[in-house]
Amino acid sequence: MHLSPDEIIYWQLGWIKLNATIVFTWLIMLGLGLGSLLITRHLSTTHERSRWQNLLEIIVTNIVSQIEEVGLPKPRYYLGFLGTLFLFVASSALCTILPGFEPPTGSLSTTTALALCVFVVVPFFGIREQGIKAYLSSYTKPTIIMLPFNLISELSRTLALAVRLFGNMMSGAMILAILLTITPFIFPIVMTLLGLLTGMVQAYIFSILAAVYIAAAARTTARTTPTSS
Amino acid sequence: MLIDWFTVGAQVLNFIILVWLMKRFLYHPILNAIDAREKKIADELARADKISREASEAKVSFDDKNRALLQQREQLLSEATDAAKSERQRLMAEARENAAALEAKQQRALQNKMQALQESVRNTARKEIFAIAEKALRDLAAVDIESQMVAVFAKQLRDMDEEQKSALHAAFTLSTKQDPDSTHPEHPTSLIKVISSNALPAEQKNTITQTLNNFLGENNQLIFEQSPDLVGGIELSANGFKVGWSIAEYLHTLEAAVTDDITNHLDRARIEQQTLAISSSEENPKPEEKPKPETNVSNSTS
Repeated sequence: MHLSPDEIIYWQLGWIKLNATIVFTWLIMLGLGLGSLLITRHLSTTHERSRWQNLLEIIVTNIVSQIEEVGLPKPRYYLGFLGTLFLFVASSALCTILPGFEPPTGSLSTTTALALCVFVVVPFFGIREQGIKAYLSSYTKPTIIMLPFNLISELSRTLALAVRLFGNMMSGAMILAILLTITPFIFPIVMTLLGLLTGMVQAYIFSILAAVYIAAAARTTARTTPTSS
Repeated sequence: MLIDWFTVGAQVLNFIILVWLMKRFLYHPILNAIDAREKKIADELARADKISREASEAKVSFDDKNRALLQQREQLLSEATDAAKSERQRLMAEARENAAALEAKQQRALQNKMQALQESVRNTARKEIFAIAEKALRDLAAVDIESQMVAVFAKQLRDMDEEQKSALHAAFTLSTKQDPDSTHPEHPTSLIKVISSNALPAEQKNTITQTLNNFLGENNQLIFEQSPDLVGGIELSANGFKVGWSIAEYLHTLEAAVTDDITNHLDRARIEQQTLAISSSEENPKPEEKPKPETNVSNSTS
């Protein structure tokens, strides 16, 4: 019984190790990249197009519309980061139906890495949108007293992101493993379906929260610009 | 420790690579394809809109042209109708004039013919009647008609009433005054022409001379002349004043009767022809001459 795929180590050289998290991440990357490459190799710009192209267009346009609904004015600009977050987490959850697959998002290292990415990207987009001074001054809003609380909020939400996704994914895999040992075969199937649903919801929550954080950082500009003008 | 920082770093790197992969192989191609399709659709819609606008403009233009053509056609039709109407009226007037001229010409020709016929009938009748009467009287009653006519002429003069005599006398004396050849102005002589159809014998001349002398006095100069137009009679003529006694009066009556008969016959023929023409036109009435239903209704209700 492994609590995290990190514990499954295939190869190790000193502190460098090749565990299941990294390997299954590579598999997901390979699947997503190869699938995209194969499908987008012959894209049609006419009304007649393949089913796979239709599927990808539906996914991409829905992600774009979701980002737009969150309140980001240029959704395509954030599509690379937010879309990839969603696709990676969703793919990890989706692949849990494959026997022997260890979801990389079930590893706290992976969720921490993703949360750290969000933690870095939010100020990056905030500074890019409104400048470093304006962005940093947003931590002192509404008063300077709020600065430590804002900093704690920044850190805690990053931690929350990581732990929420890890907890959900790890618990799903854990419950499945436990049920496999103590219950008949039908319960693990039901729980797999439940875990699939939970994984998709978590992918949505993770990417939407990231979008909301970015929007909160970028929207400061929109809120302050009219007052300053 | 659940967090392996090497794995965290590797996953961050993996995620960055995945972002690049997705951008390179998924987002850009798909979004470009969507943009291209949307642009194509927008272009097609714009083109369709342009075509629709052009079609509507063409339709408006076509409608305008059609309307103008209809108006032109109506105008041309109206002008042609008016021209045809005026031409018809002109032709009708011309035909009427021609018909009237022809009718007048025919009338004149008919009148001339009738006059010639009347003249011929008159002359022939005059001669024939006189010849028949003379022959009949001579054969049946052994009467010389000319001598009897002279005698009757003399008797007529004698039997004139006073009023007639004075009028005749005044006329003949007036003719005497105007006679430039008069040798006795204090006793004017009357120059009187006695016209007969045949040469009168001396006895009859004497009878006429005596009768006129008794009637007008002694100073009368008689000139006896013959006129083939005067059939069977005697005529006294002095300065336009005439006293005739001939068969011509009877012939005038006969001529009038014959003329009336011919005229009546011709009038009947003309009336029959006109009746025939009217009945044929009623059998094939013109469209505008058809009785209108509204008129009938109003007549019937009224």
